[in-house]
Amino acid sequence: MRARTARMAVLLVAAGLLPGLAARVADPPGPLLVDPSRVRVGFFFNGATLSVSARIPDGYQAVVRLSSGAERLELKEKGRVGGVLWMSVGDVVFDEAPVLYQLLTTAPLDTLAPAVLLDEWKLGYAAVIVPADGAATRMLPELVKLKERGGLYVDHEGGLRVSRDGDGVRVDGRFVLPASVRPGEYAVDLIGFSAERPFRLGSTTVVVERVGTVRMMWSLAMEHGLFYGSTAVVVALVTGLLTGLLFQSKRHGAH
Amino acid sequence: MGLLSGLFGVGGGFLMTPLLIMLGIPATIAAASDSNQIVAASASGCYAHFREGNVDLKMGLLMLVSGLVGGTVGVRLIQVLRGLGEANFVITVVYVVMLGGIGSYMFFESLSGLRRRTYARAVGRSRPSIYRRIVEALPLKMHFPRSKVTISAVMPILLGLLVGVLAAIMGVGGGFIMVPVMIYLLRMPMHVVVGTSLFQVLFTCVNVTVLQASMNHTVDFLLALLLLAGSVVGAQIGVRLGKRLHGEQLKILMAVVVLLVMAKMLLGLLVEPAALLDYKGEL
Repeated sequence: MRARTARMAVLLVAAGLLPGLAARVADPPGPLLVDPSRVRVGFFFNGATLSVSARIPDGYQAVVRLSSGAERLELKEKGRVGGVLWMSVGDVVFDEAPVLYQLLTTAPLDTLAPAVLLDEWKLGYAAVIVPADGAATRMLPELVKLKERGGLYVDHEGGLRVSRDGDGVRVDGRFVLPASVRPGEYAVDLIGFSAERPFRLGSTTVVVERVGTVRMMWSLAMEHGLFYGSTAVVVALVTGLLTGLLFQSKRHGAH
Repeated sequence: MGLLSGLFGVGGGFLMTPLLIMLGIPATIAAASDSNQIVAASASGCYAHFREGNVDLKMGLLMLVSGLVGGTVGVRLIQVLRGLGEANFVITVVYVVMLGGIGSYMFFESLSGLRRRTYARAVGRSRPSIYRRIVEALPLKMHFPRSKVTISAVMPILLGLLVGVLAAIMGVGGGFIMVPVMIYLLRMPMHVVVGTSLFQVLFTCVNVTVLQASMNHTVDFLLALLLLAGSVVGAQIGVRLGKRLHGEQLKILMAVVVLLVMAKMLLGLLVEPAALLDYKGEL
């Protein structure tokens, strides 16, 4: 009897562990590849496209998340005054909001896992934006609209294309960075979903950095503002006067 | 913008800054970088007009000094408004009122001049206006030979101060305000107005560029370089084109441009924005 109970107990524990073990040992995911992993912001920078690819276990859904750190955000709320004029009517504060947040998914986010797990894994705008008060909570959709218009927030359902080859299941997608992307380090995370449970399958980073003339100008502008401004004025004056000399008229006298 | 500079004696900031913002440039950077570009365009146009004898240095210096004082007052006023959180709205309303008033007055006055009908009584045929009587009663009369006007020095000083305050609030060189002020309040001839206005705009924008770069770090020199590459050539073309146009024609053209910009800004106040949130410090 005791031996039978012990065998039952072992079987039950094994049954509880098996799904996790299955996820880890069967079809191990390949590395998460992001190309390019370094984005150089030069004189002609006009945004960048990052190609993402990875292998996921068979039968899994997936999300790839590109995100920055969060910052405190203070914004102006616009409202109509007197039924006529649109103007700023107050401040709206978000305690935390990522500068950039983009998702590529194989299926709609709300079909992948329950809301509480999505929240825990920081998936979805509502999970990563922390309003400071009720007014900010009310204006959260407007923040998303503002950021989406700037290309900084993207929730691309179906943005991860699933394909199958001899080596297993592969997902591919693209992130588009706007020209206004802030230099810094961005985290790229691959999260797989099986039976509505999320699993971290891979992580990497993307670095956005100023290079060349842009980097030099930025340093000058931030660290030597007076010299930078004076130089800008001198260059502008010389350019203007030289152009005047080049185009000088041979006529004389006032009109 | 360079064409406007050479043609009308304006820096073009009142047009270029809103256009840059529409292209997605943050407003503070658009305004500061455009000041840098205006230095080049106004230097180019001012030099050309100076060679033509169209710059009244005496008048220009008086208005410049008072304009710089007014600009400092205007910057302080903006700081107070920013503290209250209403700087952007006030700036836009000032734009609409100034552009609408100046543009409308210039348009109808120039139209009547072109049609050779007068809405106002002709000078010398009836009693001088209240404004003229006040101006003539002011002390410190000075003769300005290049403009061929004799007027109290108090007038250009006061008007320069007012223009400086408005220019600081609106983030522009002040040319589009200065030109109508010189024409209608100082009674200067149009072609001298253009050159003299450019002289004042040039120094105002030199001041603004250096201050913005050193205090706010908002001058994008690369952006300014791209803008000035086109505008300095345009300024020269504008000077030559201006010589072919009658004073009234120049005024009416400028009035149309000013009114179009006013209409665009008014729309921004009346039409629901795409998003009900905006970043602080943006126009």
